[in-house]
Amino acid sequence: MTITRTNPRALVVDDDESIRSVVDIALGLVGGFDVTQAASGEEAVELLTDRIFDVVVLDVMMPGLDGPGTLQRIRSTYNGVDVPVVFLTAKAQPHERRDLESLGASGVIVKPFDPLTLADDVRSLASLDS
Amino acid sequence: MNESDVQEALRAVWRRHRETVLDDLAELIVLMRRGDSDSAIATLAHRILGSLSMVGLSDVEGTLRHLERSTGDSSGSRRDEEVVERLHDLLVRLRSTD
Repeated sequence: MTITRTNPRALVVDDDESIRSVVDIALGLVGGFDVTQAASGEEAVELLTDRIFDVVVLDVMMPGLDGPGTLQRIRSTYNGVDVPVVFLTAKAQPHERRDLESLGASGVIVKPFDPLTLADDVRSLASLDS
Repeated sequence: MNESDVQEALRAVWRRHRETVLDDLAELIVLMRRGDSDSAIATLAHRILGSLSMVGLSDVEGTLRHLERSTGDSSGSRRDEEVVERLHDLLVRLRSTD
């Protein structure tokens, strides 16, 4: 039996429930992703230990394990070694973006974002087929 | 995708979180008026910026970006009464945004 999967799987990590909801709408309803939410970096790392995702959309400022720390931990999980990670952050200054990109992220998207174009931006940054 | 379904879903999120955003904004105005620390102001401004994806007010983003840039600015421009007034206007507008 052949299983055909058409929807890319996104893991959305943000401590703010309202942001997770908006990203879920933007990626799921608008962009056709299968979206899983995590409320912390720790939860994201746990999910990645036994599940495969095509992209991780990761908040930067979170209590506990923050975005950069989470990225580092993700890279140490079996399913997270190569997964594209896109940071989502309200910090928009050029040096802040450069710092995040230098950590090995596929890209940085600035909040507030347009929910109607977020999925296209994530696909493009993560090099996912449309 | 039906765009009206998307807009309705976003409005539902906004309605659920509206009071929190308004409280954050009111707190930000208080922090600025009393000259609180840059980091407290920047943290709150970043949180509000994140929330604006629900309502899409680009001019509001401009005001908050100005605030963000001026935190850490020794000129104290972040405490400009003009900025506080703009945040006040924002608070009034968001209160009436359904």
